[in-house]
Amino acid sequence: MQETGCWGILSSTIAYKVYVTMSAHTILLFTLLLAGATGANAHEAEGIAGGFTSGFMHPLLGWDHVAAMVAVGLWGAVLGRSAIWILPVVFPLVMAFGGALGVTGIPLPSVEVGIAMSALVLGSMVLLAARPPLWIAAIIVGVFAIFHGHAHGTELPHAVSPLAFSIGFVLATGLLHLCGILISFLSRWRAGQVVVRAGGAIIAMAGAIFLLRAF
Amino acid sequence: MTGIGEFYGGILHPLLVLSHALPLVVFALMLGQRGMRAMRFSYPPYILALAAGLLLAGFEVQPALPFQEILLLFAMLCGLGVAAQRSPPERALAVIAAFIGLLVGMDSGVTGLDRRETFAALLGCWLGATLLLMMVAGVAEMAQQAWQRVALRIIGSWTTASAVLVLALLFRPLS
Repeated sequence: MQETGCWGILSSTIAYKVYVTMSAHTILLFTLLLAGATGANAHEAEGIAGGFTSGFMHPLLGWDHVAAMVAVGLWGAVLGRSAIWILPVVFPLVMAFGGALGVTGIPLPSVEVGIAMSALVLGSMVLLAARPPLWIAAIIVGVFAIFHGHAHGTELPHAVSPLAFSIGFVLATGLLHLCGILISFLSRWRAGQVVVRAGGAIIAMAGAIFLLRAF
Repeated sequence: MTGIGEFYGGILHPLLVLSHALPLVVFALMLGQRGMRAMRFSYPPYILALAAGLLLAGFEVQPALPFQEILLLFAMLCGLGVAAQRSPPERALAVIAAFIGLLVGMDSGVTGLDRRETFAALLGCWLGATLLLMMVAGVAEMAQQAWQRVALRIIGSWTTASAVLVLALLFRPLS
């Protein structure tokens, strides 16, 4: 694409000047310095920030959670227009119920098996492009949401700021759904439909592996 | 909050105290979802009740109420309403606005400051909480496209989920 306008000309001019004034050694030195750079820790993650960060990272650091959440988004898009928003609205509400069970210490049998099954079943639904009635889909997703919520909920009492933790993990869960929905937009094209269903297959296979590990 | 002055600290207070921010944001979403008429009905009682609550807090008149629990309960119910795109009538919204304003105000007391600093902190808090409600409600009211309305409903369900979890934590039996 050709850059036009004053910003394009300005940026090209600056880039050219930087290029001609910097020697190869300088560029190499900069590259090495950048490679050795670490993140600036101006603010330590304590209190609200610490609670939010740990909550936000909790669903992201578990492959089983990530796979299932992305599958929810993918399946929502496969199911059609209204499911795109019904599933992401239903999931957090039911997940909160599971989380409340976890917080209050009410045990749920085979939580890890339930989470692994969620990836297997939801991935299979995407692979098969299954379109059951919306209420059945909502029940399937809701049942698995309880297991995911329970797993997060058991971590909540240990959080620095429980409210920030809960906001963090609900937000991360929602963003993972969004990832699935965005990936599913590929299905507008024929090749994209194959990609989406292949994504479902990968998630289902991952679910099968999680299931084997859970036993 | 050290280093930023009492007035600015007061403005940030409703944003940084999550048990205040959550009900305020989700109630504002409900107002915005409902429309301009609900906003016009609810702003005056909210602003007045917030000021009254802050005055009470300033004079250290603070009844022993479980403020966090009540505010999170409001957040949970308002979140459910936003998710379902259902809200009470405008007059009921005005009453809820007054309740939330009063509770947030009364729970925003400051200690260890002189009279001038206390006044600055409470004035800042009044301004911050008022702006937060009005800005979020204004943005929600502008959300007219289908996907924007869906986004509001999703935020409502997220808020309810967060509030339910923390309420469960607060009410869990001690082992």
